[in-house]
Amino acid sequence: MILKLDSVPMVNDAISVREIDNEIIFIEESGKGIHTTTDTGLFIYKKIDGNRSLLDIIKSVCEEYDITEEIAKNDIFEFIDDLVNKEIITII
Amino acid sequence: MESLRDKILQKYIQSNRPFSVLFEVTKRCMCKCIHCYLADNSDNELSLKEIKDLFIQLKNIGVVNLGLTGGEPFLRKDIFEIIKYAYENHFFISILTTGILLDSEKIKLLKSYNVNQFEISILGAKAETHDKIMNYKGAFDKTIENINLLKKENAIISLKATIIKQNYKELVQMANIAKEFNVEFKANINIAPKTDGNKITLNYMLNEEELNEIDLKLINGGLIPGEDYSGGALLTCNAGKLSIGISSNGEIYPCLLFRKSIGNIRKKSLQDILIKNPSNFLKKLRKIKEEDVKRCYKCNIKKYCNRCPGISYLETKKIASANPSACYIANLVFNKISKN
Repeated sequence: MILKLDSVPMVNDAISVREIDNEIIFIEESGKGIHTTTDTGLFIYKKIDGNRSLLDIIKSVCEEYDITEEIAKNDIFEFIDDLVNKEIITII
Repeated sequence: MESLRDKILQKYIQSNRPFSVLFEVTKRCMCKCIHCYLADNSDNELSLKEIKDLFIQLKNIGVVNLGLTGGEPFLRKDIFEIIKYAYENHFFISILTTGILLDSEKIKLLKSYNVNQFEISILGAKAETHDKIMNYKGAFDKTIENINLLKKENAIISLKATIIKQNYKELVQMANIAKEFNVEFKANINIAPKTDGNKITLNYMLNEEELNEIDLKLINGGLIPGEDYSGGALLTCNAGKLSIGISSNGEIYPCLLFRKSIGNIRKKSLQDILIKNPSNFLKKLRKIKEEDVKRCYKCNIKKYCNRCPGISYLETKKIASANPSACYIANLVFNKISKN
């Protein structure tokens, strides 16, 4: 999957997502697939709503963490790519 | 090495959050099973609005697995709205049912809400036996018809059989039915007293002669979904820790069999009941260790025992006692195995 700035990420329907003490837990129904994320990952996850594009999310991260778009882009693409490979997120 | 799942469950335990909930959406049931543990079938059920609020609270404290049970869950007219809301909040839903009230349209609707796991009661291999125990004519045929329909939709099914005097002679055939459907078979020989403590249901337990006639290899538990009794007596369990039970009127229990109320969501929030201000009883239950159940811990036949902390509490009103009906069964099993 090649990510683009106008790609819109969305959490897969078959994944249950829960927030426990500032940690996001993604759980697959079989219980086999589990992934967790904290800090920036948690912030990024909260921006994933099936409407915002990756560019929108990059801009939010830049505002929140006062970093350049280039750095934010690399980190966010890496984060989203990982979740897409784990079938937690789909790109619509 | 500890898996990520183990670490997550540990985090849930440390922060007093349940991962799984069994919710009795109604106590009402069209069947009147002779060994049913529910003492009465009527109470002031939570409304759809209250249930939606409950689900949001469950989601916010981190609950992932949501089992819906009854009574018969499909007797609620708003059951599909309840299920839809659970689906929209990304719970993994399982349903415990008699299977009688389903039809192909309802099964398709359930599939659209990602409901794929069902635990269905089977109480005989013949219609006559099953229907008589359930006090419901036509139950067996309808259930078998609906298991067929569920299988066509690739549902994951467990057939749950409570083995009592009235059906023990059909145990092998019941297991064969499960085999034919290629579904899990969960048979148990322990019976819970009624939720008000009445032990009349224990009269249906097998005696020594009857127990000697059955194949113990076919018995593996099944009173509480997710708990496997095959490893011997449960001195402690996840009740009140990783799992809780919620009754149809909002009463919160460590488990639906562990009928000691720890709060009611009509009076307090789940955060309050489970995390911020747990009752002394719940605090004590969460701390209990296997060695605290002294008599059972030292018992030399505990590996033949199906002790359940919830049933033990129902029978004795004590948190760390042996449960007499499990002791009775364990002795019979031990005697039978010793003779062979």
